[in-house]
Parts: sequence; structure tokens; C-alpha cells
Amino acid sequence: MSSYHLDHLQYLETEAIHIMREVAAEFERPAILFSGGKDSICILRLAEKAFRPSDIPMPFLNVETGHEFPELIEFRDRRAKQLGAKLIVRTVDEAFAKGLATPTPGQISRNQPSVPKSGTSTTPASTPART
Amino acid sequence: MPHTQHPIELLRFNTCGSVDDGKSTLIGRLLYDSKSIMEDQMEALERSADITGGGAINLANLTDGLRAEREQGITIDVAYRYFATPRRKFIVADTPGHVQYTRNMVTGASTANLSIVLVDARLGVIEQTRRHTYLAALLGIPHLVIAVNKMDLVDWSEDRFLEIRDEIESFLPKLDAFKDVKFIPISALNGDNVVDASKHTPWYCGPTLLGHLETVHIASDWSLSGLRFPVQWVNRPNNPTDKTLHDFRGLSGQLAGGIVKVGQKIMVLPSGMKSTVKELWTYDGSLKEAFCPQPVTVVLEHDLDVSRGDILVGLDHLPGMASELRGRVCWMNQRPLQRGKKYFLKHTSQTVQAIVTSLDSRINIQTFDPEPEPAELAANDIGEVRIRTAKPIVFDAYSNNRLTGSFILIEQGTNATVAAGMLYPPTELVKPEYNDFAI
Ligand SMILES: Nc1nc2c(ncn2[C@@H]2O[C@H](COP(=O)(O)OP(=O)(O)O)[C@@H](O)[C@H]2O)c(=O)[nH]1
Repeated sequence: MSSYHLDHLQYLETEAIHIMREVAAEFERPAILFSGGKDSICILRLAEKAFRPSDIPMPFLNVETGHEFPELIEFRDRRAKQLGAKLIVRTVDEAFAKGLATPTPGQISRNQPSVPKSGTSTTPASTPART
Repeated sequence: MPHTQHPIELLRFNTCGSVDDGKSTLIGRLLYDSKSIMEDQMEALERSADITGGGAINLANLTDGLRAEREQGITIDVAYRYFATPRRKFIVADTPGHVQYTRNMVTGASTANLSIVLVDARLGVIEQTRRHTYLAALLGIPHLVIAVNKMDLVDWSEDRFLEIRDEIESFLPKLDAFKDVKFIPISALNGDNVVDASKHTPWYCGPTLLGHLETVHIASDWSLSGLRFPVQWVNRPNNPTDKTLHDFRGLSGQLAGGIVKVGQKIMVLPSGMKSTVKELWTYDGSLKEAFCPQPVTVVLEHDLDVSRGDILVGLDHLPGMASELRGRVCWMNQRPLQRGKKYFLKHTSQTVQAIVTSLDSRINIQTFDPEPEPAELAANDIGEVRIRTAKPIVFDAYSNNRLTGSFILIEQGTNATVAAGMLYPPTELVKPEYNDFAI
């Protein structure tokens, strides 16, 4: 067998990096969802692999459920700062108040609020970002 | 590679068959027997077995999430399922639906190493078998498994198995595809020859299905012959605080073919400008060489004007470059393919305007023969077309390179992906002395 060989994780990583670069190149306003949790920490590392030595060419976005531990928020902010990224924070409460989403009946977790089909609401993106 | 032992490889496959051939049962069996299901899923399964199954677990329920979603009107084209054995990791593309089958299969199987075509032993070879085998060949999937399922319902008859095998073997040469084809008699329901060899088939001396999935040689499924590096993103840190980075200008992308080495001479196409590779930058440190499908950031000796959509190639094994293309397309839209209509064509990292200038034929799925000059191509039809692009495309035959030989057509206005295409070989290759600086 030749040495030109990737194991399964390296292989999946090549796909993730490819997709991130396509997104950066093709979309007008992409963002990386970053909550500070384990999945999004992994995504950030993939983004570093995709874009270094440049800065990651998209802002981070987190929609707070209001149920986060303070340590998580602290970590999220610190990590974004370390990477020199702009962090946009919105909240589920805000989305409820504006009618962008509604609580899902029977769901205690606020990770999955009900969101109307896209196209039915237009949101101005003018609210200033908290960084 | 840092590994001292064999690295664990990843095999992607998909399962095809018509309704009730046993796809869900087979995937369930593989997940169950390889112990890849979560404990809570397992408990739910066992509970449902007590209530509805008279004690027997319904393996199809493991993958029935998809069905439920479909019934709620949620469209899911392809669901990916993961399982692993100590030897390999597997990703199964579970492609539901019969109406949109061609589209789903093209989506789910375009990156697959292997296709499993299920045949119900009682029904034998039916139109779906031919269609799915044809699609697997068309998509250039290197490895094919014909799993003759429900062998328990034909008394484990070797004659029946051979009859089906012979019929399929009679049309395989016409497809001129596949590195290898395996025929395996199984019972997905009872597990015979899926993970463990069956005591009912003493006449069968081949591997079990999982045994084959674990050992089929996939390391050479990528094309390592001609260097192809489509530029995805120009990497310019422009960092005023860091001197070393201030002048950094890299070309980020993923190798779509071949091997690239530091010091190697390359050509940028379509311009024809030449340079030498100075550095292969990655986050984990610079490399001396990189190979398909690795992602890297290439730094060149000269500061050439290179942007997204350009492609770096080596000076041997040169590709074709043309704005008149020929190939086969799978049509995937309810509105039929129209000759003369403008589409966007996306090929590697560039998107250009394109017109289908001619519809040469439509493939008859029964005979695999092209039928000349059809009026149109409807959804799920496969046809041969000629396309003219607004700018020349740098490409290879799909049969040589699945990445630089494929494209999609995008409908203008709706942005819907309406076709997946596979290019025929170029009539002329780029010459090593080619350049087009003048532009
Ligand atoms: N006797 C027998 N029945 C099977 C076998 N494999 C699947 N079945 C049955 O065939 C039916 C259809 O199977 P399913 O997996 O839902 O098919 P799918 O539509 O291809 O996903 C179910 O009732 C299964 O229990 C087999 O090997 N032997």
C-alpha cells in the first residue's frame, strides 16, 4: 500500500475544509455558529485549518438560549477574541419577542424553537452586534 | 503519515433496490450486528419487539426515521448512517424514495466507493436492478456488490443464485465500468452471509457482505496521476502587524488529482502562466508534498495573477480545455431539459454561463442503448448532450477523474440544481508550451 493514504478522520477533515472554503468564496454573508460547546469548538478548529494564515473570513454567531452556564459564555467570548473574530450574539427571547420564532409546545429545551418557513419574514440585519 | 500500524480507512457506500427488497433491513442488520447502535435506540427496538414483533426485533425500524419524516412531508434526500468495525469506518448513504430515485442516488452516491444493489431472490433481475446498476456505473462508483437477498425464501437455491448472477453478468460488459463486482447470497432478515457466514450456503465460498466491505481495496480509488488543483480561495492575510504574513499570498484549495511537490513546475490554466511551487502551507505545518484529496495552501515562486476558478496543473498528464463540451447528464428537475436555454454550469471551483446546444440522445435504461435526438429530457432521464460555456473549462474525462470530470447545471432565477453531468474525454489536450499571457 502506498503512503498516499488518509485515515478516516483526515479524510472527513478534507471534506469539511473544502466545504468551508466554498462557503467563504460563494456566499454573501456567511457566519459560523459558535456556542462554545464541543461541536462548535471543533468547527472553529476546522475553520482555522481552512483559512489560516488569514483570519477566519466570517463572523461567529451565537443565539443564546438563556440557559447557558456563565463559564460557557466567558469561554465563548474569550475564544472569539483569541481568534480575532467578530462575535454576533442574539437571544432566543429576542426572537420570541419579535415573533421570529415561537416556543415549541412540549419542548423544555430552547435549542429547537419553532421557526416559520423561510421567506415569510424579513429581518433587518441592522441591530448592532455585541462583540 | 504518522501511523505505525494500518490506519483505519473510511468506506462510503450506498444501497439500492426497489421497495421491499430489504434495504432498511440490511442496513439495520449491519448496524445491529456491528453493535453500532446507541443503547437507547436498542432499548426502544427491544421494547417495540415485545409489543409488535412477537419477540423478534424489526431491524427495518432502525432506519425508519426517514420514513416517518417523509410521511410528515419533510423532504430528506439522503440520510447518512455511520457504523464501524475494528478494521474500517463506514458511511452508508440511505437514499429513500422511488420517484426521485435517480436524483437521490446521484446525490448520495457521487462520493461512494461502493454500491450495493439488492435483488429479491424471488423476483430476480427487474428494471430497477438494471437502472441502479447503470447509475452506479455512470457515476463511476468503482466497486459493485450484487446482494441477492431473501435467499431463505428460495430454499437457499444455488441454481436460483447462479441464474441471477448470469443474467447480470450478461449485461455488465456493456457498462464498461467497475473495478470489481461481487455477488453475495444473503438473508438480511436472518443475517446469513451479512456478518457471519451462513450454514445454509455451503456452495458459496466467497466473503460475507461485511467481510467484503472491510477488505475491498479502496486505497487507489483516487486519481494520483495528473496534478489538478482548482483554486478555491485566495489566501492573503494582509496582516500589517505581522511582517512575515504581510506578503503571504497563498492559493487555498483541495487537490482534485495527483500529487504536488515543493519545487515542482506548474502551469496555471486557463492563462498558461508557469511557476514553481515554493511552499505547501497547512495549519499543521508545511508539507514537502501533498496528494489528492488533501487540502493545502499553495505558495508560488512568482506573484502571478491567480484567482478562484483557475486551476494549477502539472506539466505532464495535461487536461483538456474547451468551451464546447460533451457528456452525459442525469436530469433532475420537473421542468424538462431545454435545448438552447441558458443555465449556469458549475465545474470544480468556477461557475459560468452555459447553453445546451444539442440533445444527442436519451439512454434507454432497458437496453442501455442511446436513442438519438429525443425531444426532451424529463426528470430522472439520462442523456448525451453538447454544451457551450461562456468561458473555456479545464477538465478531464469523468472516467479518469470524478472531480475534474463532473459538473452540475443550475437553473437561472431559481438556483435549482437541475442536472448532474459527467464529461466525455477532451478531443485535445493542453500543450506543455501553451500560454495565453496576451489576454
Ligand atoms: N424472508 C425474508 N424477508 C426479508 C429479508 N430481508 C427483508 N425482508 C422483509 O422484506 C420486507 C421489506 O424489507 P425492508 O427492509 O423494509 O425493504 P426496503 O423497502 O428495501 O427498505 C420486510 O417485511 C422485511 O422483513 C430476507 O432476507 N428474508
